[in-house]
Amino acid sequence: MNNTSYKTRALLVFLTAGLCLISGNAGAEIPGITGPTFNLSARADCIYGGDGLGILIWGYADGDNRGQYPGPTLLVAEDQTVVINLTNIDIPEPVSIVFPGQVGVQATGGAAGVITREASIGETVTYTFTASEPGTYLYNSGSHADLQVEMGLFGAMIIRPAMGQQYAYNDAQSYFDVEYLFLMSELDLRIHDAIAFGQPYDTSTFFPVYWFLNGRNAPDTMEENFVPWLPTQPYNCMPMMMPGQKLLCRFIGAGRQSHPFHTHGNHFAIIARDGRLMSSAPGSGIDLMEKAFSVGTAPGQTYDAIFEWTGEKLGWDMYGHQQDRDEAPTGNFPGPEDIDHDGDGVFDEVMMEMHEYEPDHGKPFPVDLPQNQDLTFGEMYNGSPFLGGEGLLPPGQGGFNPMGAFVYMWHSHTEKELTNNDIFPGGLMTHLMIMPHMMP
Amino acid sequence: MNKIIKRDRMTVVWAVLLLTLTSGTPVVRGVTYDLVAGEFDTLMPDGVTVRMWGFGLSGQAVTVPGPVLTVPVGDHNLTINLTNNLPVPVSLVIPGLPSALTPVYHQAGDPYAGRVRSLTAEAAPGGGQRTYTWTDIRPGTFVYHSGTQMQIQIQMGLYGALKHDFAASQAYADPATAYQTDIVLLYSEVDPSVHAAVQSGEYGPSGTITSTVSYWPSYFLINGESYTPGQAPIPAGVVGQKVLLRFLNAGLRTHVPIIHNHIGKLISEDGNLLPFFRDQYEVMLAAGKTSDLLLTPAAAGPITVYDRKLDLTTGMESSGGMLVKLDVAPLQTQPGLWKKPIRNRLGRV
Ligand SMILES: [Cu+2]
Repeated sequence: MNNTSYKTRALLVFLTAGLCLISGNAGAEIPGITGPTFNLSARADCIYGGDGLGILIWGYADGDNRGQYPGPTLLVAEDQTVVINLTNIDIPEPVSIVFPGQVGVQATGGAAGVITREASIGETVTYTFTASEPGTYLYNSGSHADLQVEMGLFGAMIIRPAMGQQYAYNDAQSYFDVEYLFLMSELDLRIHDAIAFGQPYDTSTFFPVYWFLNGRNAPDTMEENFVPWLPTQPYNCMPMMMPGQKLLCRFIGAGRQSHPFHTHGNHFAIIARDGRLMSSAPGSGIDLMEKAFSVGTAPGQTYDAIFEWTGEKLGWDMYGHQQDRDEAPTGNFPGPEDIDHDGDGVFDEVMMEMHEYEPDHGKPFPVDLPQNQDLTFGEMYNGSPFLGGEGLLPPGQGGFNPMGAFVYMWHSHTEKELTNNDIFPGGLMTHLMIMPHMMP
Repeated sequence: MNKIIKRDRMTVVWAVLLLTLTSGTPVVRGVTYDLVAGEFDTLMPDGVTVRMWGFGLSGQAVTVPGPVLTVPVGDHNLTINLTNNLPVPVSLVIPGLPSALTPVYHQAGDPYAGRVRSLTAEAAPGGGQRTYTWTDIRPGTFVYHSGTQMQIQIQMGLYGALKHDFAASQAYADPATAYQTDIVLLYSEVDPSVHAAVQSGEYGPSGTITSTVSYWPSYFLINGESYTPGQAPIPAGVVGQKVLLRFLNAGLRTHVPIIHNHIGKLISEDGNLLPFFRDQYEVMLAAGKTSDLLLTPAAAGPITVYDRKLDLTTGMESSGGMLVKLDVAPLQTQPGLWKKPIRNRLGRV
């Protein structure tokens, strides 16, 4: 048994180093393409549902690259003059882009459509505007939108404020350590099949069977960005943070349904809606910030929310201070280093971790853990209930969570949407990983 | 019946004069409307004829939606005399405006005996009449609709808009809600198969369509019309002046109007002034909801308002549905385009 334990630890050190590098990159910035000039194309391609089914889509692409679902996330800076050239490669009807929340967008080229100018195959249409208000925005086709948005012609745009990369808006309260995009959409397979086979379709009978976060169904939401087996769905949705950090959620309703996005682990503070601060008046800061654990993102809406997690009020020390961590946790028994000097039931004399919730420091774990032979093991269990802890696991069990992260499901609260074409689990779902502060 | 309206309008005129002259003397004033509920056939833009139920002013055509009812500034009481020319009992309620309600139950012998059929007293079918009154009317935008078997009667078309301003060209007590032009945009849907079943008597527990649970509308209407390309825009005043968009949803589904290329200020929901206005390009308009949005167009020309729920079809045809164009006139244009804002400034809308 001791031998196994040693091997596990060696593996842990290796994986820890790797995972930290990954998390350092993934959490820093939302992947996308940087402006202020974008050369986009619209073209047909194929995506994979969470059940592996290949589905025809129409996607925006970065230049000559493949169409993607959603389109490239456009990253621009406040006050830039944004120019977007859109060329229709092979979509058999005119396409366009509208930018809800942007004022005074000028459109040139192509031909006039009902809402904006649009491009037929081979044509290019150009949209120009000043990115005057920082925030989280949606862009999507303004042509035959009941079909073209269904087919996938939508994406996110982030306007970064002058205040700096770590702020969502020009307000100190909009500071964040890590940020993630939660672009929600859904897909009615019948319409895609009809387009693929040239059959009639009726968008008023819209009945989706796939629900997406950043263009992927669970469990693919939790794969890396840009994995080669999802070439047209480059963006993941894998929020990771350390206790005490501020995680900015950029929520976008890109489809035709409202999705009540719901976090486990804590409430979040909504700081903006539609790219505008929750503020009573200019200069009043985010004084109308409100807490929620679900945000009913309606089609076309965007919300920005800051999620924080410290382990506050768990009622026990999540780091397992003074629990016996030299052996597999076998219950709530003090080891030789555990001293309760004043007899208040809280063990003393161990340093606080970074951002630890002080009132719970040293509080013992409230239940006796069962013996390993009485347990079945999920793949995210690493032998310890404590953040960053690890313990003995039977060979072949667990091991997907070598850092001892805490894992919370984040998902649409319309539980039906946690399916991939009628198969549970899947759909509009991912997990938040609370990572321990292992590297300073 | 028309005479009653006229007499009442004269009363309003005299009351306004009196109030101006005596300044401060409390005068209880009211407005009366004579409404008729009836049925008619409408031709949808894709050539399909659909049976509708609607309201109309006495002596005028029955329409969907019904006429926009205005409770004039200074009036606080509303009386509606309803004449029912439909084959079923109907009634009137206005969510957001309290009034004494007397529910109607299915009677003994009826298989649904004891269940509520109507929120309030009904006008009997075949010409029956009933008077409804409201007092202490507050400023706001409201939906009026039938309060009887609402699951079927509302989607048949028995709804309309009612508005009451705090002061001339000022929606609420806050002076920041002043406007030059106001536009009512009432959203609703039609499921033609339900309407056909009602028309042929096949709607109901023993019919071919037993309820509106399976509701699949294929016509998506703003002010009773599905957009057709080239449709005339709604005049929206002059560039730089405030336009109040009164959004109402009398349908059964949520719609999300987006103001293309513009940001507005949401000033109220359900006829309640918001303590702080919200900058929004969209209005999340759930079923039964009203929201007022102030817009100050910075440029002349058309403004497109489209449903981001993307109900933008007419039957199976595209480029239709819940889309409407507003037209903002340039400054110093033809005198004809000046008329509307000037008239509005004087409060005579
Ligand atoms: Cu849950």
